Amino acid sequence: MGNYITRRLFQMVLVLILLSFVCYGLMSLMPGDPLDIMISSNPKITSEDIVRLKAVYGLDQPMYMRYWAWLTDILSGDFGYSRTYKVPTTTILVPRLFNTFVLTMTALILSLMISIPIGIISALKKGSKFDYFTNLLAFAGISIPSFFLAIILIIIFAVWLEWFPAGGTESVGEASLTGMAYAKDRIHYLVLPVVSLMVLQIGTFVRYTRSAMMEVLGQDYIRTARAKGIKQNKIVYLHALKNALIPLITVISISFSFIFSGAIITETIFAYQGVGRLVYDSIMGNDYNVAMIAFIISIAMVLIMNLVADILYAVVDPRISYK
Amino acid sequence: MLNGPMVEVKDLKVSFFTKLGEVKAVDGISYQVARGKVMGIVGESGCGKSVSSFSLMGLLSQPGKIVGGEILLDGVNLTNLGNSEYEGVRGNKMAMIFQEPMTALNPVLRIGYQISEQIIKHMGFSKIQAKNRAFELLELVGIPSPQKRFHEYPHQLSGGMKQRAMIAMALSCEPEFLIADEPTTALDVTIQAQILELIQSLQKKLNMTVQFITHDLGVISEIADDVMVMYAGRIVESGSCHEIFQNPRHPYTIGLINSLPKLGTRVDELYTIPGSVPGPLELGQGCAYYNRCSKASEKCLMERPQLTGDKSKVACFFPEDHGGIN
Repeated sequence: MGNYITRRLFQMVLVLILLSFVCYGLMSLMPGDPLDIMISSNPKITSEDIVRLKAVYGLDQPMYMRYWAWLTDILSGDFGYSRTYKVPTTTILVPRLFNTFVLTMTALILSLMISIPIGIISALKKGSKFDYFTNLLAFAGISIPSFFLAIILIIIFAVWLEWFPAGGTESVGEASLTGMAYAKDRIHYLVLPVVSLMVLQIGTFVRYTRSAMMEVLGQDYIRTARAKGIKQNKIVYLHALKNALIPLITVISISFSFIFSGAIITETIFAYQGVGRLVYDSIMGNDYNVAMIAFIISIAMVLIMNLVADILYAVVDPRISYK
Repeated sequence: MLNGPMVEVKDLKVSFFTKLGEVKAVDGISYQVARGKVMGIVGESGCGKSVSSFSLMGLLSQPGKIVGGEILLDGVNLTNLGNSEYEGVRGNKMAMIFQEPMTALNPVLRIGYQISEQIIKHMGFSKIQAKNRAFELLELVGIPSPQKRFHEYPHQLSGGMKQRAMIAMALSCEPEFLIADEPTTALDVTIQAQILELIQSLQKKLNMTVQFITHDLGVISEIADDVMVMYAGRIVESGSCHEIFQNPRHPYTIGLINSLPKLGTRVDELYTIPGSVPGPLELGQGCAYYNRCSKASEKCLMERPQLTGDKSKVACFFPEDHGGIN
């Protein structure tokens, strides 16, 4: 097992470097570079200046040379400056990543806490009114476009009822807030975007849990457990759930790999200071340094969660072992 | 009640309520299993033999339902029991071995856990006591190095070993009544013989009452004291094992016995009963075997024969008297 994990980690680094090259290449394929924007906004600039500036920033070099320079800098711990915000990349990125993490993680964990029990009950009461009702809601949740839902939530809870703010991350000008008061303020702003993210996730997880549980509950070994006189609760939550977890691990770990990627539509509509909108703006503004780091983090999360899923399979299912 | 039969089934009716209508899987069967005896139930697939056993265990799942009759285990009517009372009987006084050892064990739980679980529940043992009991049981059913097997998972055991583990599980709380539902069908022939021998020796050793279900007449003739033959949800013939094999009276039983290959004689073609079992929804008011029977008359089409007789019973208007085996 230890061997296997080491091998996988080594592969992950390779994949990460390879994909970072691909991302860098794609970014450089976009029309223009940071200087072009500067040039077009300054009519007095001469062509000598342009050549000199391009040389200073290394923009006259071929793509792979620029990539190499970027890679060596990154590996030496230099993440560079954000071109649009004029601050070190980490200064702008870290708080945004934290905000996104708070948003998506809250939504994800609450969704799982709600949808897994509902999915189990729904599978146990297959064909009941409860089952039909949850199915209906689950499909509604999956089908409703997130921008539409977000707007509806804003109209109802922010405009009509005025329970929650229509957008933002925290109260502006209240920097003195600390401790519980600060947390309360943040939560106030989090509620609507979290609910908007949860609706889709709950729908998806309920469907997955229900089908996984239904499949397992029809298996012979469940009948064996019943024949042994084991209590229904123990059959459901031990004998059945442990088997149903195997397919669920895949779905859940994929969801966890997006906790740092940002939910661009939700973040934009709720004016939430997350990483999704930042990355979008960075790509559009040729802000290589910010965009690249965000890409790397997203890619790394997918790779890491895949490894976590594979390890969890082996933990839950004794038939799976790695050498 | 110590002198009465271990199990008494009275006019048991089980139906499945499907979209096509009510399917009568078991249609009014009555029988008794005497203490310490082995009752064999024979019949083709779909004749209701497994469904009747599941009803005894209270394991019928939707849309199946007991619609009538009584099941008495040691004088206690099981059909009246609540869920938790039934849980106290299942795996304790009454246990079951299933057909498919490959799928009947939970793949993600250790063999040891699956055996000790019910020992802890029904016998009130501590974990360590249950573990020791599980070692004994694994030894009893002939699993070598039980200490090692205790910690293994089902996929690490062969098919025969799995069925042995299933038997250990079923016997763990010393059940007085054991239902074996085609326990050897999924195994290859040499393993079949071993498992059969094991069940037989354990039955004698522990003086269990056994209900043994199979479609294999060879197996039945070896293990059963009494036999009942089922067809389309009803009992068509019952009696002692010797009687049924030496002097079968129902045309269906005769057909079954005739379709067995005989050792030492070569035939070009094995005998088969013509036609096939009618679907439960196709049954009319007459004898269910009507469309396949050589002796069928108009009476058989109009009226359903009842199971009659003293020691050996038969449900046929024109039973054979001297055995029609050729």
